[in-house]
Amino acid sequence: MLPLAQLSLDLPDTVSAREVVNSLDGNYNLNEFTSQTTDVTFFDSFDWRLFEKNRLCYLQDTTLYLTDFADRQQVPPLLLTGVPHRFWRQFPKSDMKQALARILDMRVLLPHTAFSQTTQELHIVNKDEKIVAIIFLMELDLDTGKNIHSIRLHEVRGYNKWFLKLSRDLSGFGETRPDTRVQTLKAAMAAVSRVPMDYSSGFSVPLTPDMESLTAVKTIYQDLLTTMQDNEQGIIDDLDSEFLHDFRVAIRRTRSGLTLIKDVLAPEVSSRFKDDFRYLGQITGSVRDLDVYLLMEDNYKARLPEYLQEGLHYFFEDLAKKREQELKKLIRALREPRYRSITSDWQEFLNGKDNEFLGKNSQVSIGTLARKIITKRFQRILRDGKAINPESPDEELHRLRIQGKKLRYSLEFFNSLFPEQEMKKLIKQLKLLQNNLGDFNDLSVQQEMLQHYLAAIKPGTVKSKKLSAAIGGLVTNLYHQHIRVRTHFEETFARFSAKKNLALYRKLFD
Amino acid sequence: MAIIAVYNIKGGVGKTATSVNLSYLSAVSGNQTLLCDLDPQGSASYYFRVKSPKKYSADKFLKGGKHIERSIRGTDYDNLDILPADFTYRNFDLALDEMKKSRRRLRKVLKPLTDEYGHLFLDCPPNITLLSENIFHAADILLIPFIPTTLSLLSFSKLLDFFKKSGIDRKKLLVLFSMVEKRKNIHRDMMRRFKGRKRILKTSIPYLADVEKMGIYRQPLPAFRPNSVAGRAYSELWFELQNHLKK
Repeated sequence: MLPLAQLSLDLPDTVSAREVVNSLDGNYNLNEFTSQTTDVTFFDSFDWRLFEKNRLCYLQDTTLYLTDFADRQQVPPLLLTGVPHRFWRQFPKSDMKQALARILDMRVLLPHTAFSQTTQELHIVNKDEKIVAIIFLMELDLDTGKNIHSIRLHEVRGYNKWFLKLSRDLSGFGETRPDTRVQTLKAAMAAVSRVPMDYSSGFSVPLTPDMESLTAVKTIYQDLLTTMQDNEQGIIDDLDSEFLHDFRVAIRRTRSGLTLIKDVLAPEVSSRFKDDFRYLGQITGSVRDLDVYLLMEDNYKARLPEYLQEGLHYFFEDLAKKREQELKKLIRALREPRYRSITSDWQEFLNGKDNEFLGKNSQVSIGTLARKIITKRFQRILRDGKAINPESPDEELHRLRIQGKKLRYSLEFFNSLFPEQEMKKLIKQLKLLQNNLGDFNDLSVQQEMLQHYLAAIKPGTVKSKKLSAAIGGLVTNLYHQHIRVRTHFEETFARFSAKKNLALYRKLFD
Repeated sequence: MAIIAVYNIKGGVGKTATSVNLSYLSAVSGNQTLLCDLDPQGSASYYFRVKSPKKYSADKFLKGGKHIERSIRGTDYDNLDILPADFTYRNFDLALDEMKKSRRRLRKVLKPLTDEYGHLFLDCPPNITLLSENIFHAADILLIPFIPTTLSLLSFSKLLDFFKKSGIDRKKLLVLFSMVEKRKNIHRDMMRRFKGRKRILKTSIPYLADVEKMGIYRQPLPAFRPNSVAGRAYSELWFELQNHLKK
């Protein structure tokens, strides 16, 4: 069956809803109802995962809804007492919980915008007093004190002629558009000068090939610094693990940029900030390492028979305690003058217009420089990768992984300079190789960490026995996977260095 | 998904009031609900202030698909639509008789609607005709409003015989005591005889003026008198029926 038509129209400040109603009053039979006010809060993850999947989550008074952009419910609404739970795991068992789990993963649900909404319902009735169309007069009161007035018209099934006639009559008051829930969100966000999706953990900076390299790298570094600042508060408030993750990725990208894009900044500038960003990498490392393990909890449990899983529980409890201590240290470091001066000096440098601190490549066009850098990274990875055979020591694969990362960052920095579809293909191909190398490295690091952990367990208690058994079982399982992943390397690398891929690199960057 | 037909061989037993009020309560509980008014008198349609579309007819109904979809009307209540009756419905049997598989036609016509609606209520005309047989096959529940009198009992036994002969599952049957007047001995006696039996609903609907007022207000009773004795009886009935639907 056809969905019912809905229209919406924002009223300019000069027209009141009352005027619109009065104009209809002569031509239609209207039944008016008293208006009702509800509080609405829109929720999403910090990086808008729901919105990205065309989903809206909002709390209206005490009921939480998950809808598509047109306000069609995706799961039954959930009655809540108090504010919504932050992680999907904390929700009561429901369809809502399952739907949120699929999309949010490890991210918390955060309020993005709140307003109160006053709605007055008007019924248009025919001679039999039967409702043939419904009009809603809406007023959004935003926290900023701004009010948005709009009119919505909803079709009643079987009475499309009335709907069409009314929409013609209403169109005199402004432009009509389909009524969708997402419009409400956008209007509320616009009132605080924001738009949905204003944060994304992906990296994309628009550059042009003839841009001076200095301008280009400053644009890149500025974007990364903004990402760091966007995530700072979430780390301090410990909302979820991904604030720190995104923060660290921005640090790593900045460090890679300083190393890979040579001689654009003066050597003394590069070397000072390389040190500074290495320091930032260090202070954030231990919490992230612990986060990685804590996020593996379900994965690790699934690797063990049920009777060994209890021991793992102690392991994760232990990690959570350690993380608490490490987080305290991290927050302290973020409040220290050293952190403040790094970010403010870096910001000052990026804003600076003087030409004192320049390298010899600063005026070269970024298009030329980008091709050189990418070609160099690609050739390096080809050379090192080809040298690896089934007998090569693990260290060589670890080194290749670092090379892969450098190529990946170079491709991402300069993505906007080259054709989109072909860059997508290259990154996808590189990702496959990186996944193999990444898994190999993760599995070896994890085994090592677990071995140390095992060695440090004090024997003699029931708890230590269970713990040791679980860790032992886990190491064995990871060991077998480690070997499997290693055997896939040759095949993965052969695909990466296939003729077709080489030709594409040559075509784009030679 | 469930198709609930409100049926009795006899007229004037409260079929329309029952189907109008139950479909309203189903919609209020959040179910997408469609009420099909199959009675050419069109009383259910009248209660919802809906008229039959000009080009609509019994033939169109039996063709199904778009012909039905175009004729469905939204009522004044959320989640509740109605397929209004048409006066040509009096010729249903003639039209059915000319069709192949004439006993299963209704089931086929209603099937696509069950994708859109969680509950389908059928307000059926009295009599045992080819259309009634179609209804017996199509319905998941056959709700029989039943005035507790000797004559009613007689017609009910006839219906049971008919089900047995046609090989229709008698578990579909649910009996509802309707228009009950507690002060009448005969009503009390009949209800006592049936009390506690399988397929007899515990809730009964009293004979009260409020039910007749539905024709004046042109609204479901629970919409304008939710807390009246009769209004509460329908709510209890819906509650009890839901348990049967869960089975």
